[in-house]
Formats: sequence, C-alpha cells, structure tokens
Amino acid sequence: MSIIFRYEHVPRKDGTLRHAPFIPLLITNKFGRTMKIIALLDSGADTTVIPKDLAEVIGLKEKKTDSETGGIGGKVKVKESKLRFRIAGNRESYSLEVPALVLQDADADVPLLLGRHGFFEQFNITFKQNEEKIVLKKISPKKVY
Amino acid sequence: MIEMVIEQVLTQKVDFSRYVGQWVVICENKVVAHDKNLNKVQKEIKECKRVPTIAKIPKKDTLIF
Repeated sequence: MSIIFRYEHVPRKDGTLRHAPFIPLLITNKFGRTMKIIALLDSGADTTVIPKDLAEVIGLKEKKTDSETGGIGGKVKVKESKLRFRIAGNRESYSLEVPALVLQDADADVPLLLGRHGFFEQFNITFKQNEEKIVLKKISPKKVY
Repeated sequence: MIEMVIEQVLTQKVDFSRYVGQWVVICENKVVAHDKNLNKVQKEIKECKRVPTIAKIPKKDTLIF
C-alpha cells in the first residue's frame, strides 16, 4: 500500500504558483490539540528543521545547549529536539518520531522542513515531478531469524 | 487498482498570495487567522472545532540550509 499526495501550489507574492512537495503531518501539541501542519518534504536536508514559533505552539522540548547547522546558506543556531507526528492516507496511517532541529532565529522565513533522518528510512519515496505527486510506500521491518 | 490521491490542502479557491511570509490557519476551509508569528494565532487554533490546518507561505522559492 502507498500514500500518494498531490504537490501543493504555494503562491508567490506576484501571484504565480510554486508547485512543490508539501505534505500534511498530523501533530498533537502538549495540550492534546491535533493540528495538520503542512511540511516541505526536503530530500536535501539531513534532518527535520522546525521554525521556533511552531516548536513553541507544539510545545516541543529542546535540549538546553545550542548547536549550529549549516549549508550553502551559512550557519544558523539550532537546538536539538524530537518531533512526533502521524502521516495519514485514505487507508493507512503511521506514527513516527524523528530527530529535529529547532531554529533559534524567530524571524527565519521557513516552513517545517521534513528531512531525511528518521523519515526516509521508513518509506520508499518517489517524487513524480511531472505528475506532481509524492508516493510514500512504507518499508516493512526486516525479519530477523 | 484505483489510485487514491490525497489532494491539495491549499485550495486554489482562496488567494493565499496575500499571506506570503506569514503563517495561515485554515479552519473548515476558511482562513481564520494569519500572522508572521504563529504564537499570535494560538487563540484561533484553539477555537477551531475541527483539526486546523497550519501552513507557512514562504517568501523565497529556495530554502537552503
């Protein structure tokens, strides 16, 4: 079985649309409130990255020590955490917990970025760019004899 | 086999371009709140009687870390 998501059409300021692989994650905050958060499935990101204000609304616990992560865009201050969420299709649903980095810059203009660690190991993922679809096929755990 | 596709959440019936750079909170297919800081729309998230959808509409096309 697979879960197939249509690419979201995210607007730019000039009114044109950016077609990108955003998928909905079901996240429950510390008060028991479930929210559907739209996350960019980012195969170029090692780890999931969470904006500071979203982490606060979810009530994520962060490690006290600051660390840094970086890429082509330079270095940014982050704190390590873990993100629990559920991903649901029409006939199947999976609960996952992935390592995550919470951005410490409150003004960072980024959505929730769902990176590879903890997620890409769980699914065979196909980006069908021409059809604007993402296909997630759960990988069965290996049997140990 | 029939392909079951989860359709887009950001419906094209709403003009989201006015919310670029902001978080939007969608409750029962309506934008009920928007702000640059998600903490400022917690009341609307709490008051939504269904599961609210929350999306950040980024300014930039490329998100690099």
